[in-house]
Amino acid sequence: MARRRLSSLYLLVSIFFYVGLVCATPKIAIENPRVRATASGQTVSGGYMTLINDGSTADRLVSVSASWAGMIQIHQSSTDGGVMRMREMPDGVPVPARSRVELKPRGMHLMIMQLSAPLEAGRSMPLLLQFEKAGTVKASLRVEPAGAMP
Amino acid sequence: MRGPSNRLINGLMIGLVTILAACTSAPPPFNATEVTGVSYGTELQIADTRGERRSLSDFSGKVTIVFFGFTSCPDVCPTTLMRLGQLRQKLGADGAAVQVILVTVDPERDTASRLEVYVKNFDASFVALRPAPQELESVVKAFHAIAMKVPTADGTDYTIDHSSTIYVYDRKTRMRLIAQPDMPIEQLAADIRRLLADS
Ligand SMILES: [Cu+2]
Repeated sequence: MARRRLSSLYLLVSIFFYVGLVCATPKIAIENPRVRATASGQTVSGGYMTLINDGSTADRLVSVSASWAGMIQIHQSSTDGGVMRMREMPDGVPVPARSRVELKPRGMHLMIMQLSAPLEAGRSMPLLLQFEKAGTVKASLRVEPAGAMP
Repeated sequence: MRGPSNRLINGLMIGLVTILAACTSAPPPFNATEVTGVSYGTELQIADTRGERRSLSDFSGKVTIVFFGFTSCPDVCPTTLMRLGQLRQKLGADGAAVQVILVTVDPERDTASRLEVYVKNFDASFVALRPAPQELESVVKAFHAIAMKVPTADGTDYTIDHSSTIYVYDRKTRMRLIAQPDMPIEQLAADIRRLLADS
């Protein structure tokens, strides 16, 4: 009798544990992922998106990769004092709990380098985003014409 | 008798004030920074993508917009080019009298053919100029601008910190305005309409 009670208690505790684990794992949503089309000869482009963390745990975008680009870095542009600068963000992009973080032109962007082929407007390019807590998140970048990048 | 003479004096005073106001009221300022008469960026002599040396006088009759950039710049430079293309569209028929010129600060990587395809990708009318690597420093200096190679963190590549200023010339190829590329398109368009109208 006591033994049965103990095992049902164990079951209950483990259910709570797993439910808690699932709920605590942050879910990151990606909105409006896009990349600028490139001309032939160009091996670099900029990627943008909004990272949405609806969870109660802070997370961080740590790295990004794609089969069609040799290297993707996370960069920050600035134009202080009439000088345009661009620097890698070595610690990635913090995504605080319940927040939206925008990667947008002239701000944070994915610096997509060593393109294996020009990016043609209208296509979709698969991308893997690695988050500290949420793990790997897949996204698909819409290729936008260079002259009309939203 | 006092009434009419008072009225006359009042009338004269109002007239005088109006004339004074008309004399002293300067035209409203431009949205961009007016730099008419500055000594920098007054001329350029740089090869285009066909290897022909171009000078500002080649574009006389148009309002010319010059800025520095490079094709491996993934973010700010293409955004500026896109916005200048939108500016030409916004100007409608007047847009045909606006010439946009990109001067590369990365002649080593930006070959003539690469530059040509790059700028035409934004607007078929855009022109790219390519100083020889040994000319770059003097070109940049002549505009009181900067361009500085910065190696990427892993050391395998480099990016270039450079002036983001847009230089605007009137139809007589006199430097008139400088602006930053994040200036609202409508404001820049209004300035350019004025330059197109007054020269
Ligand atoms: Cu970058």
